[in-house]
Amino acid sequence: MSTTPALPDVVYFNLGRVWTMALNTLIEMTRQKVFYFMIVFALLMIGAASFFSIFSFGEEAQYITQLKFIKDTGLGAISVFGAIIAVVATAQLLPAELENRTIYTILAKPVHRLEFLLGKFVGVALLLAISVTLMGSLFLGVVFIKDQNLSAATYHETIEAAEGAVAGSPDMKPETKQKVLAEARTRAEQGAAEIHKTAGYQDIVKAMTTTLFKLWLVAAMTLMLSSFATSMVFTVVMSAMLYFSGHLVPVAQKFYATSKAPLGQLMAGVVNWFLPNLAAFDVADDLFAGDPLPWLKVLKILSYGLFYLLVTLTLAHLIFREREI
Amino acid sequence: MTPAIEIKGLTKRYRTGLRRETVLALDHLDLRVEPGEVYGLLGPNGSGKSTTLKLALGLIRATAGEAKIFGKPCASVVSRLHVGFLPENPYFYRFLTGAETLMFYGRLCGMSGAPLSKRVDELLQLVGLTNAASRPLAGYSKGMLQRIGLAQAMVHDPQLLLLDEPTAGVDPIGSKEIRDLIIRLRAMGKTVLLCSHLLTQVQDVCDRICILNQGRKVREGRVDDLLRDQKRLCITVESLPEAARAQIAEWVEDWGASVVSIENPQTTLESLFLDAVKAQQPPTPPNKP
Repeated sequence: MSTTPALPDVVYFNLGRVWTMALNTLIEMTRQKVFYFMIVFALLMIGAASFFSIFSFGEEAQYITQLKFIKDTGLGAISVFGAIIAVVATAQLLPAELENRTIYTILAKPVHRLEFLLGKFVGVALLLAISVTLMGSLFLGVVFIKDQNLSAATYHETIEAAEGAVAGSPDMKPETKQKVLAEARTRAEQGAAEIHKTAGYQDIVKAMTTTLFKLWLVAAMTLMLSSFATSMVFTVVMSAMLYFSGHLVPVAQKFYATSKAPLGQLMAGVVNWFLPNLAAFDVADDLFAGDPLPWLKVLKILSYGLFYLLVTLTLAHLIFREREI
Repeated sequence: MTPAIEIKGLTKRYRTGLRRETVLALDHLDLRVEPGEVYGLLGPNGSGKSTTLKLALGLIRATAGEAKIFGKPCASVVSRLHVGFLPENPYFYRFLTGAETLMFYGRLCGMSGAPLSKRVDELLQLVGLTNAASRPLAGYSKGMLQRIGLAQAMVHDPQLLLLDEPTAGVDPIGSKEIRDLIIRLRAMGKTVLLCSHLLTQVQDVCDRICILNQGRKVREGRVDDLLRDQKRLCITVESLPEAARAQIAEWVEDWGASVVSIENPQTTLESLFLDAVKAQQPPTPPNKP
């Protein structure tokens, strides 16, 4: 006997369906062996750790400079690798859905388009969070080992130098000898402490957090582009352009403030008002310069990222809602 | 009773190319599918079948007219609560296994836990993929993908199934199984809208059909009514001696009628194929591509 089902008036937005979509997206990308990039990252980090130990820089204590360069390379690599994953992984999401016709079977179920789109984004966001955590852990491990080795080396070198000086001066009074050695110990401890400080594990975690927010924003921008694009190449090229333009926002701001040419002002204004300042998320330069990075500043950066993230995802939703599939 | 599908004056124009020229894909289509019916949508390529399905699923918007499923507008998510859809040539997520695929679609329909696992096992058995349940879909044959596609369409036990070429790429044995499944679904009171190029199949399973051409409905009605030739009569007899044939012909002419043909009835190629293959093979379908 045939039946006509009793249907409710409305199907509400459901986070469970978003989560189902997100996990499915993550599983799909994981099984496509996206994490193979970790091998390249690991090799890069090991290479950087050994490369920067073979030469010294200027007047600054050699070991501190080494550590700074390793940190700068690591944070830069996390940012670049992450951006590549954010753009490429996100750009292929919707084209793959259309090509495989899976989007038809999903949207033929009681699923809101917003749930579908958010699910895709959350899936990529999880992938990026896992990637940054994996790269960050590896990076922290390299910095920790380097920190231990360099601080031990500094300590021993300072002590040995003092002991050598004392041994080379047979007519030095015993009290003076003891004083020199005690001073050397203090200097050695200070040197080791300085290296520990340069390692700055908390700052690394802060820098990785702001980087992750930047990557989420890049992924959201890519998703927004692919919500109306008909080709993956277009999405990748446009996302890359947005990525680089986003990093040029401070330059545009400067130009906007100083330029008198109308066209230049207009262009700089467009970049300034419509693009998020992606350079604001890059705190590695501040760390390299030795500037402090208080949590308040980090929170400001994260709030800025969150605002643009919501704006970008809303735009993506408004476009995708109207798209004919 | 509320119709399963009700389409009134549905029109769809696409704009294509840089010049934005319009293509009329569907032209004022009226259609009504009653609950419990198996309804066939026929037509050559580009006749508007897929456009009708996409409109019914809210994947595209109509230029004019309206479409409702169980009384709810097709643009609303609520209209899809009791709909299962199998697209033409589905591929699905290549890296998910058969069981994972069904679990995923089940969760999207609000199912979870033991009831979902039980339903997945039932469906895998129903479509003959139990042995391939833990294999990624990347290794499935076209016929197996079609079967997993049918299973995902049925995962939430919907009242209405929209099947676009459900037997495309399936061998005759699998094709017959899908046909039997549709007949079973009708017995269970489900409504099925079937798009197919295989006219024999449509003839076998559909209660009513609609033939579309260039976006317009050119024929609609019960299959029996449409196929019946009211002017001709066919009598099938067994063991009739050769001499009797001439007498019958004379007798028919005495009544002012004429004999058009006297011949032995033929079986269908499908029946011949199935009989021949089944004589050689075990009856269960193979799971390997």
